[in-house]
Amino acid sequence: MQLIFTLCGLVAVGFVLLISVYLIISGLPAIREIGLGRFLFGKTWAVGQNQYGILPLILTSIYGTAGAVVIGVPIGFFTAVFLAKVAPKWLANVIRPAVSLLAGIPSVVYGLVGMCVLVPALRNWLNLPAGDSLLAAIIVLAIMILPNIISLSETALEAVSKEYEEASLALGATKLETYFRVSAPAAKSGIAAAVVLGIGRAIGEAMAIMMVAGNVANMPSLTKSVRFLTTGISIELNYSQDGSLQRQALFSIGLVLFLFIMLINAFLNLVLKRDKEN
Amino acid sequence: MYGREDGSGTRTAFEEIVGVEGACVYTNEYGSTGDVIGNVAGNENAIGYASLSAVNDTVTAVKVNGIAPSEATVKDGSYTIQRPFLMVTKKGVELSEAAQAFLDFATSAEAAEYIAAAGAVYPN
Repeated sequence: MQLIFTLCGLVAVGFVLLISVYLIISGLPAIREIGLGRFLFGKTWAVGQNQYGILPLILTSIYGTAGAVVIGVPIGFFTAVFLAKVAPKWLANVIRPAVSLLAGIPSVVYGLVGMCVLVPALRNWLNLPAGDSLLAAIIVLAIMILPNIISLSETALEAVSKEYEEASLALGATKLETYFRVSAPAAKSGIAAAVVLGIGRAIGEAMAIMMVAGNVANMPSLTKSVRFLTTGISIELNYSQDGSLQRQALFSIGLVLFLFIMLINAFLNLVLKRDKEN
Repeated sequence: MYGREDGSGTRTAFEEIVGVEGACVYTNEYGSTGDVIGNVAGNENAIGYASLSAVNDTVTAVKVNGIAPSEATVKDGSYTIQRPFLMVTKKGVELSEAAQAFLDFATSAEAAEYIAAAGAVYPN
């Protein structure tokens, strides 16, 4: 019996190892051929001219994720405070299922709504030629990471022991002061974990932003068409010839993305571990 | 200017025929012909390229040298932006009976009506 459990446990580890090894093996040849510096810091991605620089993709992924965090985290955090502390029960019971529903919407649907509603709206408001832009992608990503941030921060806030808050109230602090000066700091690491998970989701998203970002490998600019690391892989994979440098370079992009996500996960573990030790 | 992603057959063909190979800077790039047509239809400022077979009445097909694209103008060569589709088989390998039969059928006159029905043009 124990053997079965052990085997099941090893399946996940096995797949992680398999994927890591595969990505490293298939991602390295192109980097070696192009040169690490020219691959990571080259400003032009143009397969026709044999130029494989992914700096625009890396920067776009970083800016896009940062933008989503800047918009999504405050909204998500305040919603979590509202749900955990302020909201009347009936209202919380309406908002909570709505948030989990938001988490369940497939990313292609986010992309579709973004493409049909957000992109034309941006085109008209900002008077852009197309509307597909980094800004559109940031807005879509911000909405997509909301549920992660809200539900995790809410759990963290609710886990703060009542005595802290009661002590603060007894000392004469107002309710709002208590929430932001006592509850939130006590739930700090849970909220940090929520933010890091949100970052992880945003940086790994491909489908939704492929439909709103325009997919040209420009240096990132809010109103221009941009290409993320994820969309860079998915948009060109179809037609890249097996064994060609283009196909290998796409795997290398995957390797870079994988390293990004590993770093974020390592950071998350560090945050959680430090909290446990406290 | 809307176009396809690097490596796409449509993009390579268009840029080769027009003589702007590798020199195009697009506003947006899409992964499929349907995406290009849909987005051109949704934006009054946009222009793009797609296969004739995929063109529908949501977009306006542009004349080239005064010639509108149609099956007839593609066939007689007067519409100049056109490309052949090729059937390819593995080198140095005898085709299986089924594959040979399919190839014979696809190049026979009988297949012409199916090719036309799909919106492509049967070669002379």
